[in-house]
Amino acid sequence: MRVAFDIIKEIIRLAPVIKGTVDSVREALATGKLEAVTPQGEVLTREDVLAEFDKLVAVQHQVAADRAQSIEDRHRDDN
Amino acid sequence: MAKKSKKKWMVAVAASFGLAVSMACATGKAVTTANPTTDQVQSARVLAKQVLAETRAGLKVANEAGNLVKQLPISVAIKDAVDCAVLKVTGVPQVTPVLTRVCGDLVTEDKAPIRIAAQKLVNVTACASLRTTVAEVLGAIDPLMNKLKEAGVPALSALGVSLDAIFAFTRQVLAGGEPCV
Repeated sequence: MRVAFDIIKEIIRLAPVIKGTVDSVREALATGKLEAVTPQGEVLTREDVLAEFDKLVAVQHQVAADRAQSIEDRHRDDN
Repeated sequence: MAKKSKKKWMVAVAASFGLAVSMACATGKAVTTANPTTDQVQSARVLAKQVLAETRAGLKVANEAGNLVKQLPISVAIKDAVDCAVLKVTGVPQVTPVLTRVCGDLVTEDKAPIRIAAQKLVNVTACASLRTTVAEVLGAIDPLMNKLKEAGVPALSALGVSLDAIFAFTRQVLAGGEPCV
């Protein structure tokens, strides 16, 4: 009885620490600081996805510039 | 009197809750899992990265379509239609009077639908939000594909079909055909 009481007392004492740890892990996951691992062992960080996004933005800019220039060239002397 | 006051209080709580739920839905937060598991985050990221890669490849093909159009002996109207359809997806470096006159309303690159959807893909942590965003990517690209396929120029139709094929994986993700936990 006494042991059970001590265990419960210890759990209550540690509860804020456990909660803090769980919260930190959740926050780290959400912000990308802690990275997930696939069953195949591949790790994909938020930065990996961001790097792919940056490549897309570079291409988007190039395409936008090319197509805009194409229209400008065709219609420069319209007026 | 006390009963009436309690009822009023309960109605106020219910109304606040309803308002909070409506606002969450309106801001798109309802589709995001609050505390995703490690597997959910990883699964969504793997798919998001691949969709971003396909989108990049798709934009390159769209640019090639524009370059091809430039060389073909076809009407200026078709050339403009293709270039404008691409610019509706990518946005423009700078909105100019000529571009607005030829294409109508255009937005700058940072406000382009494809950029906004891609930004959301970087932050997805769950399959539900991933699929919502993938639908936005395809919603931005589809009018361009249709424009190429229906241009009445065989070379452009072929590029339209190629562009469509590039997004095969993305369409699979949207249809739920790709495993996402």
